[in-house]
This record gives sequence, C-alpha cells and structure tokens, in this order.
Amino acid sequence: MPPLTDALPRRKFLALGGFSVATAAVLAACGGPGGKGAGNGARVAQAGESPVTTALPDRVVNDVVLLRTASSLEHSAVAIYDKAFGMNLLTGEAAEFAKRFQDHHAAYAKFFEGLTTEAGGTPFTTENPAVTKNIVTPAYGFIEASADKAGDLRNMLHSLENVITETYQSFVPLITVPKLRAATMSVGAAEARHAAVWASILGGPVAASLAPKAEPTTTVKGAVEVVVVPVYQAPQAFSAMGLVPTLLNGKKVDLDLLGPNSFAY
Amino acid sequence: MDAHLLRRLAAEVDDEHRESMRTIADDIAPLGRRALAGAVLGVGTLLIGASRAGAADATTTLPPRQPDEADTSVLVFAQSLELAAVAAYDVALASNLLEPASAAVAGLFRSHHLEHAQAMAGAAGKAAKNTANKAILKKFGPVLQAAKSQADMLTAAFLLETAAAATYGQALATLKATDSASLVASIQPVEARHAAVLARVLGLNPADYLLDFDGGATSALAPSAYAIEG
Repeated sequence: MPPLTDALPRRKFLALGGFSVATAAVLAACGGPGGKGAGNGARVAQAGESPVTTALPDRVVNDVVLLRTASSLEHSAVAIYDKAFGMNLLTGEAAEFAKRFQDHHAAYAKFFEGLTTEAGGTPFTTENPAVTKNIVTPAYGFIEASADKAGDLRNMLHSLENVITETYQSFVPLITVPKLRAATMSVGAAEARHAAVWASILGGPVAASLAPKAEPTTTVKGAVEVVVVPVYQAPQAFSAMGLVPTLLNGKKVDLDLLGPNSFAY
Repeated sequence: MDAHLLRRLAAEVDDEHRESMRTIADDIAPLGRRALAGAVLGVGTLLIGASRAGAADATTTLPPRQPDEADTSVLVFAQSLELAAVAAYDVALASNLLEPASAAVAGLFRSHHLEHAQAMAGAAGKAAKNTANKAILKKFGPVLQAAKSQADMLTAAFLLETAAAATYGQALATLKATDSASLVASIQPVEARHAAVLARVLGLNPADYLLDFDGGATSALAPSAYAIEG
C-alpha cells in the first residue's frame, strides 16, 4: 500500500476538502425545518443536541419609550412614598417634605404621560415593574429587618430621588428632540433639589455634609461591622450617573439607575 | 433684599415656569408628530446592544454628537456665566460677612463653578472667551456689593444659582448635539442643588425653592440680554 501522502497529494487533498465543505453546506441548506429539501424528512446527521433558539424581540429605544419609562418611574415614586407613609415612620419636617415630594412625583407622572401622548405614544400609567422588583421590594425588605427603620427609610427616599435624577440625566443623550430633553431635566433638576433636602435632613448641619466626597467605608468594631455611607447635599461638581450607594439595615446597598432592561417599551 | 421680595421673585419664577410647562405639550406637538412619522420610517431610533435590528431601521437620523456653531455659542455663553459665578463667590468670600460654615459652602460652590467653566471651555474649544460675563456681573454685582449681612450675601448667591439652573434648562431646549446636552444635563442638577442648599441655610419657605419644575424662562439669563462683551 503506497503511503497515504502518495495516494492523496496535498493539492488533491485540499480540492477534496473544499468539495466536502461545499457539499456539506448544500446538504445543510436543503434540510429545511420540515425536512422537505432533504427528501423523506431525512435530516443531515449532526453531533450533539441542537439548542432551541428564540429570536430576541425588537427593542427600540426612542423618545416615546423614554417618556413612558419616565412616567412609570414617577408612578413608582408615588407608590414608594405611599408605602413610606403607611409605615408611620416619617415625622415633623421629614413628613412635610415627603408629602410635598410625593405631590411633585404625581404631577410629574401626569406631565410625562401628556408628553407621551403628544409624541404619539400610549402613556404608561402604572408603576415600573422592574423598579418594584429590583428596588422597592428588596429595599423595603431591608428596612423591615432594620433596627433603625426610620433612618433607613429616609436613606432610601434620599437615594430614590438621586436614582430618578440620574436616570433622567442618562436619558438626555438618547432623547432626539431638544425640547423633550429640557422637559425631562426640568423634572430631573427639581428632583435633585429633593435629594439635597433629604441629604440635609440626613446629614445635619450643612457644613458637615459638605465635606470632601468620601467613599462608603466598612470598619469592624469588636465583632460588629460598621458601614458608613456618606451623604452630601452637593456631592460634586458634575452630577454622577451610576450606582447609588444606600445604607440599609447596616449594609451598603447599591441602587442602580434604570437601563434598557427596565424601560417601558 | 428682604425675604418678602425674595419670596415674591421666587413665586413669580415658579408661576412662570408652571405656565411654560403647561404649554410645553403644545410647543412640542409638531415635533412629536414628526417624531411619530419618523419612527414609522425607522428615523430617530436607537437599538440597545443586545437587541436585534428590525427591518424598519435601515435609515437613521440621530442627533449629532459634536456641537455646531449655534451649540457652540451656547457653550461659550455658559462658560461666561460660570466665570461670573466664580467672580460673585470671590466677592462673597472676600466680604468677611460669611461665617466659617457658610464660607465653606461658598468656597465649595465656587470650585464647582470653576470646574463647570473649564468643562465648557473644553466643549467650546477655540471659541471660548475665557472671561466672566460682564453683563451678568452688572446684574448681580450691585446686590453683592450692597450686602450688609450673611443673609444678604447668600440671598444673592441663591438668586444667581437659581438663574444658572434655569439658564441651563433653557439651553437644553436649544442644544442639538448630544455631547453638549449631556454636559449641560450634568451641571443643571448641581446648580439646582446649590440653590436648595442655600435656601435651607437661609431658612426659606420650601415653596420658594422646591419648584414644581426647574429651568423656567423667567429667571434664566438669556444670551441675547447678557451678551459677552469683547
């Protein structure tokens, strides 16, 4: 028997290889979903199990989606304040501000609903399901378990206002109509004022809460882990967009801004 | 400036802005209809990373990223506003009217405005004037110079911050480029916070600084009315 290399010269081997690949492609192409192209329903043999795939849905982020998301977020904020009032933990100045802020959020929900309609969309008139699932439910779980429920509740409301402000800020480069950007940030900036007020309530004297920005820290005193999440009325020169650290039940919990997975399509 | 006058001014600003927000739907309606028509044609759409492009997305007209001449003029004006704010806080800090805690606040806000001016200079490029807006200084300068107490000084700062936040709100309604709009959107909430902090220090009525909507036209400083000299 001649050596294989003699019987199958390199050039012929490459040509044969090319033919095989082409043939396989033709056969594969003939094997349609019903197997008709392959005759008698026969399928080209393949190794392993072929995974079942589902095409991703079309997800187009446009001005209407962003406005719908904004109204959904405002409805969530109204519900969050409702839940806060139901706990009877807000008193005095905090309660007064909370009521004012909730009224604002209700007005903003209507405002964004109106803009959605004007932009040709269907307004989103209920809470944002992703916010309920990923922020409200876990945050209130932490608060219920906390030894300082009232403090944690204020922490959460402060962070909520920051999340909303920064989410709207993140919408700006996605919105195509300049006047809609301005309208969105007319709400975002007003909610930044809410956050500043909550920070003043949480942080005490103004100067004390205006110290150079520090990161959250964790220290251990004895066997107890002490977490500090600094709060600022005017944290930095430029409004940030990112995780919002929040002290809940002695732990640093990062609240995320609304992204494409949380939009109201 | 007394508290009554301040409240009246703030109330006027808020009323004006509420009115403007009531009519914004009418203002943008034609734009909204165009946007709807555009959406049908796949115009003005963005696809998130994990999504599949639809068949209707063959053509897209997205906003520009870089500022054109009109956008640049807004950025140039914004830089002059920020440098005027820096100058105003310089006056306040040099007055010796501020208690240490308030001086710390003023110093922090001054540093923020300086950073804003630097960012605007970067965005405006060679067009930047790198000078404080004299017309704005003429508006706020006399109030600052006449201040006889910390409250007077902080009231002037509050009005300046309120005007700055409103000016950025108006700017957003005109800027076309996404980079410019993003920069302005990162500054407007900070200046709104400044106003809220100062209002809390001054003990103002919440209705005077917790506006229903931020960025009203009344308190905004229009580039046409505060042209940069030189």
